[in-house]
Amino acid sequence: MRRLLAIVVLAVGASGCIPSNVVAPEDRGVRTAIEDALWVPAEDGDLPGFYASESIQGAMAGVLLRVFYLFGEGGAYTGAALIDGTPPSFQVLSGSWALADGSLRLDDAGPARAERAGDRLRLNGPDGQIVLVRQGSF
Amino acid sequence: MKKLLLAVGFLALLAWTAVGVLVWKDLGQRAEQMQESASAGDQRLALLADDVASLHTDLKGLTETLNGGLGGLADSLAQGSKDRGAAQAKRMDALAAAVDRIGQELAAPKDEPALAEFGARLDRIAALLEEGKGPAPEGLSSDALAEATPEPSEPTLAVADSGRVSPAEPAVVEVPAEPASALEPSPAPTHRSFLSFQLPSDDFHFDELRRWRILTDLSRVGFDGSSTIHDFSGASSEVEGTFDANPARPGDGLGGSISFPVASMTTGLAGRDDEMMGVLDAKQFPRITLALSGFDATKVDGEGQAIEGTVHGTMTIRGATHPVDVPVTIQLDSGHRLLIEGETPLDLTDFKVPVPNKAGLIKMDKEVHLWVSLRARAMARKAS
Repeated sequence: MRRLLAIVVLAVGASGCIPSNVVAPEDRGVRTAIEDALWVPAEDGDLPGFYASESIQGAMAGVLLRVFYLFGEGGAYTGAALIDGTPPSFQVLSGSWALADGSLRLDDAGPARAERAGDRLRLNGPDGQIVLVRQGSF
Repeated sequence: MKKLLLAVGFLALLAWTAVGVLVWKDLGQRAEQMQESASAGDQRLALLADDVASLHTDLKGLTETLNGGLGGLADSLAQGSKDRGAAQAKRMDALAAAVDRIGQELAAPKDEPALAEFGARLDRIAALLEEGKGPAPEGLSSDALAEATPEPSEPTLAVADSGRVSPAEPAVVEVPAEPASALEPSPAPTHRSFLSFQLPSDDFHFDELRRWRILTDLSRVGFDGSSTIHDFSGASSEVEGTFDANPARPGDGLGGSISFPVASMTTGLAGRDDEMMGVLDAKQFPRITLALSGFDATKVDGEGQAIEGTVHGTMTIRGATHPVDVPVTIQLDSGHRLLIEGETPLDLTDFKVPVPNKAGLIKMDKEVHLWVSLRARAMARKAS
């Protein structure tokens, strides 16, 4: 009887120590930090660094899997894009970049609106939107 | 004097007579000549008449011959025209059938042929139609057209250079060599994006049967359970799998499966996780699998690219398989990925899972709430 009473007391006590952790329906999906970022226009000094794509949206999302950029301080850059296909393949290129009034131009390609939020760089253009995350220095 | 006058008179008379005689003689000669001439003329006229008659006869014969020849030529031309018309009609039928087939293939939800390739084929067909208005040139074949259409039951007729029709000669019609299937994918056109890369054009279509791959990093499967102590959730972030689906017609051709390792599930408490691994016998049955078999759509919004309905399939837990129906909502997001969210109750006893029970005091409900939050991406089409 005492043993049973002890078990009941322990169970009641334990129930108070172990909180309920049911996942709310709105939290079931995988969330990214992009949704909470505060974006401001990018400036020259924001660009240099090594970046990897975190999010690709728009028309190019159907053909582009990942993108990597290394922006140099002197206005030069090199990049690699993993293009979807059977099989997927990398496309690499190098060139020059120029940033003015929040508009980034890579070589003579069309301009893209460039914004930053911490270590993230977001580029918007006719083909869609891409968010790059700085990968640190090397 | 008188004698002189008589003499002169006599001489004049003689002279006059002589002159008369001479004149009469001349006239006679002339008359003879004229008569002779008349005879000769008659002869010449007769000859001319004869000649004319001959010419008339010849002309008549020539006319008859020409009539016969021209008539024959006219008959031949008419027959040739008729035969060419028949050949043209057969060729037009074959071309029309080819165009119909191309139209059907365009409308069919399958790998989309390069529009450029289709355009080029249509241009060639149009060119063939134009060429078909005149004598059939070499290189125009009904056999190649029959690749997409039934072969003509009779051979068409060839037209020789002279323009005469030779019914005995079989058709020699060859279309310029083309791919066997108009749906063979051709290299996608590229464009320079603002990222400076040359990107192929996005040819995604909502109404198309594609193979989709679960994006593991962006997907989760979990459950909500309850016990006498508290409610809790467990989830796995290592979901993987592929499935075939046409978002616009989700019930057509749906197939595939998704699964996750039992060991990847976590409830947030190590001790509870360990007990769960034991209950599910993770060592003997390392994976939980959901095989897809059908979809009943309640709403398909092609414009908004959203779907609502129920996924039908079978779930395998702890080696036991049981049918499940999961109501889901599906949305194509801005990254051209399908976002699939849904939930359904599951009775653990259907899968012979021993429901935890601690001395009857701490019991878990046998019914849990299974939920999914998946993102899938259309896989690249395979080149044929």
